[in-house]
Amino acid sequence: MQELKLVSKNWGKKDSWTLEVARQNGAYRSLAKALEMSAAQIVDEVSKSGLRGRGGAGFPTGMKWSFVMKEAATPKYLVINGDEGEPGTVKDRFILSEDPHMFIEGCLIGAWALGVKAVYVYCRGEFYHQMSRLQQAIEAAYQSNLLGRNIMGRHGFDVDMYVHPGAGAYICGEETALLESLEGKKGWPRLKPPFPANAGLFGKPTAVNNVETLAAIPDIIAMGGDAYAQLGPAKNGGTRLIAVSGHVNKPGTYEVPMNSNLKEIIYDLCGGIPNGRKLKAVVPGGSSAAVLAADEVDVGIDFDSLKNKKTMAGSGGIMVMDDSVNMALALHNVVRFYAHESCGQCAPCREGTGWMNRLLTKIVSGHGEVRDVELLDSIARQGEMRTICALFDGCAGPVRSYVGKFKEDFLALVKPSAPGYRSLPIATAVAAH
Amino acid sequence: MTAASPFTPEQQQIFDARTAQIFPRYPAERRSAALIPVLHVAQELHGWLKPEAMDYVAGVVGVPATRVREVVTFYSMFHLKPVGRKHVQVCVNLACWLRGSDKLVEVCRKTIGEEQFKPTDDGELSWCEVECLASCTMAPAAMINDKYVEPLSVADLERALSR
Repeated sequence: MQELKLVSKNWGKKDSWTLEVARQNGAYRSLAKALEMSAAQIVDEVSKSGLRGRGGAGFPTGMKWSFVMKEAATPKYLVINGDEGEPGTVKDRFILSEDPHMFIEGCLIGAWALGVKAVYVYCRGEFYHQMSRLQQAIEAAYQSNLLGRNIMGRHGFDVDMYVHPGAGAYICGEETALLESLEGKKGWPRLKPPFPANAGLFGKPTAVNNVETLAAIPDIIAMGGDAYAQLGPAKNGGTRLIAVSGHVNKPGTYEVPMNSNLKEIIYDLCGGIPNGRKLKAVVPGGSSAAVLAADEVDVGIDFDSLKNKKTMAGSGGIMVMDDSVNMALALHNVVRFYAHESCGQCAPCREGTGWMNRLLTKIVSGHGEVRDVELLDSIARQGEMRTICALFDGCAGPVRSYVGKFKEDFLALVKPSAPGYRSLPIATAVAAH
Repeated sequence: MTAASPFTPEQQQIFDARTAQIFPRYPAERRSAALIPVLHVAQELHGWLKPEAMDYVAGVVGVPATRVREVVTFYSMFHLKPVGRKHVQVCVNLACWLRGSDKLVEVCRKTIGEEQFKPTDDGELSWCEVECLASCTMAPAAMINDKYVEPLSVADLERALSR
């Protein structure tokens, strides 16, 4: 199978991040076209394109922008999520370092459509190199009338763009926690509603979008929404950047059409499993995605196909595991991450992730019993959909899928429970009360 | 009233120059949005966040000292104690674990010490485990101070730690 490079088309070209080279590669031509379109026309093209948020949630971008458009309050903000913290995800960092002008152009088209005057790019604090490249690109844009006042000579089209660093917190990739962090606080997510489109940064209407989502905009304007939509199944248009890691021969970041197949990606694009081993499991969309067993990978990578398989396309972080992996150990690694990163605000997550982490530590160290495995699933079930944000669900979904699909790996590490133990999942007992 | 400056005149110049660029990014009535960027500047000047630096930043940004404490204890990049001049951060998340992060952690334990964050006696080295750095395709990965090293081999790590 072939890559299809839209967002990544200029990566690897010499000095691709400079304005001069970016212009040679077509930067800002879509912006010029967009300035001749109305806001409604632009949002319409984006809606037709089937572009869905590339950060993980896959929310239709055109719809999100239409919500912001409808708001009366000003000023409106465009906040970019450059936190790239979802394990398995490696893409936004390359957009920012290799083709920041494509990204800036996307932001400007969005700002034009939404009446936004200030764009904040929230980057994870570790992205020193990426923020430096982006800052250089921003300064070059200011100097060339592509940021600041009367952009491209269009009177009244004023946009400022600012880079804002995080400081090491996965939860700040959650859009409302990101806004809290941007406002100078700890990253505790907000209850939704209200949604950021209504009340976001500084309480104002805000579009929060992933870096890649914005970087896709110039191509959508250039080719038109319909052409972009054709590259994937209905309501899943375009291409996406996938990062394939773990036990494959050719790990890397690739750009593929949304109608691509996960099995082909693993065996064709990435050269299959090394060292003569066999595929055992695949995480298809970042660690928050439920795991797929080896016989489940013949599936499309678009948002709806993976949702139908009870997992998710998420952030496009594909992690491949061979048959040397004990899935209880793998799950321990994953759950430890969520326990570390839980912000602590709400009880089911704070207590639940910690409890599941301790149970898995007990299990992998040889002190576990069968009922500990059942308890894992029970805790996951009890907290699902009952928290302020989706971090707990990002832990619980995987827990239930690893335990459900690879129970033998867990049972191999534990002792039978004492005789007389009633093997009844706790959640069922509570429901019967 | 702002606490006394914790900086040397030279450091103060740098602090003032960089914060002069930071504050105008936010609406005047939302000056506190500058807190995290300003804390980064203060930490870079000393290598860690001294209590007097945190109190000074609180005054400069215009937030209570408790807000600063709340924020610095929440975010993992802020150091409340000195770290080594070379601070090695090894990613131990799933993709890096699949590609041998355990071996890198072992090198750190043997060469630097068992305890994470604790500098060697000469103050040169310290290490810690970190969560996903977004280098999964180039695993196993680490940061040494503010630079990504991806992938990092056992041999290269041993070389980086030798003095």
